[in-house]
Amino acid sequence: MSDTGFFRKLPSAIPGLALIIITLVLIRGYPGMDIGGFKGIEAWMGAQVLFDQKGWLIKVLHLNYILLGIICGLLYRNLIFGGEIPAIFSDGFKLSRLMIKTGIILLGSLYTVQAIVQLGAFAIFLIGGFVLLTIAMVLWLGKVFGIDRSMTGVLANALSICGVSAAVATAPAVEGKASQVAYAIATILGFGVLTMFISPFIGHALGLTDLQYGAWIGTGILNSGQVLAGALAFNPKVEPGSAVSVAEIWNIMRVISIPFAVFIVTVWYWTGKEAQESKTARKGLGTLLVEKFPVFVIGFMVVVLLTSLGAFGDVGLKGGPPASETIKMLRNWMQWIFGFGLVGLGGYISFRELSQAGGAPLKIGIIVGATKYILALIVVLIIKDYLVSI
Amino acid sequence: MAKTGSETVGAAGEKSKMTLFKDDRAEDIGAIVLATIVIAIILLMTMGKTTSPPAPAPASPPAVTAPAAPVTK
Repeated sequence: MSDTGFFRKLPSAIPGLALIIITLVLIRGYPGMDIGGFKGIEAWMGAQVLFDQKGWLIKVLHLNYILLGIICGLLYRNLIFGGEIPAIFSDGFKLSRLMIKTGIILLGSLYTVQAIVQLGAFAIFLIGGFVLLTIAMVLWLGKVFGIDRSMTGVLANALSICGVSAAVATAPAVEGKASQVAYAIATILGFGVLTMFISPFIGHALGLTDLQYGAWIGTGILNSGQVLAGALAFNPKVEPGSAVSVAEIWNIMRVISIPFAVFIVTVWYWTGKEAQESKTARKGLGTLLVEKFPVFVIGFMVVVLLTSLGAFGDVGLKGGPPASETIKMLRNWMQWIFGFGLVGLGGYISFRELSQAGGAPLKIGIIVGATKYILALIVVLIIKDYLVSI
Repeated sequence: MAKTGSETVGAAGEKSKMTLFKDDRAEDIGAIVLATIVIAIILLMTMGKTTSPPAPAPASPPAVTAPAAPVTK
């Protein structure tokens, strides 16, 4: 199929873009908005009295603009549009991942190089441990359940790193079929949707701080978009030390490990094959780094460097001067950009497609996903006094 | 294996791709370009306003631009 290029497709994205932006404006409102007393769904919920408590929906159910946005996207696809985003809107929804990646790059303005080095070294240790443990567990369970080696390889990286990207990156290296990628993605997204919605409740119930919660879900939730959603659902603030700032640095460490994890699984896959079956040349780590490294991380690091050099003014760190106007505006824009991305993410959750998951891959997904999720929480609670704040 | 980028679960190919870009790498570069544009616009809009005025009264929902909350361990 021909690829007509991004800029030629852009006009066709306008209806979808408009739908997402209108949805987000209705949810969040804008400064000075007052349409017959209506100031946005979030403000309306904050004023409602339920069970004798004002703002019960927000205070107890933690329904902020992030969760509402995902729910709206989910309802569009599965209820209003009958299971599929219509062609007129679909190109607009395809910009949601671009927005999430753009937001993550801008998130670099929450960190300094020193904080990244401190937090990053710790995160690498924890994330590296969990990635290796998850891969080992999936490879072992794949053998126990007797599933195809390609399926096992795709599932190993889908469950160990960041879901969709890792599954797609691994498949060609282990001769994975499209159906196997679909199975792996359905499994992790199904599990991820569940953890994305329940994590904020668990975090609040356990009285976790932003630092502990961010470290937990940055390690325990499987998909990058869902990590972002889970963090902002816990605390919608975008500022140094907030849940999203911690979770995302954890998540970025995990995303960076994609080429290394693909390499490990590829070595495992081809080591177990008979020599005469090895028709495809096994790729070296250097080639994989060039091909699979998520380059938007470089953008993130450049923003961190610019922030450290004071290009945007004071960042508003604890005990320091307040944030500059530039940083304040950046953080406000980030919320809108993330909001856009997460309405779109909701639009990509298809119950019909999730039902494709099943059999042994689903069992492995649930066992490993749940183990990782619970173990990450336990580890974070054990090491909570050693977590590095920013 | 016809997948060219991160697709939705259903099927491989253009229709089910989750991005308007050719592949993940192109989308990453697109994100860098978009972030650069956003930063340039914000820098232009806030030029000459580098110092913060006194903190505004909190609104509902809480303003995102409030000073950083202390992080307790």
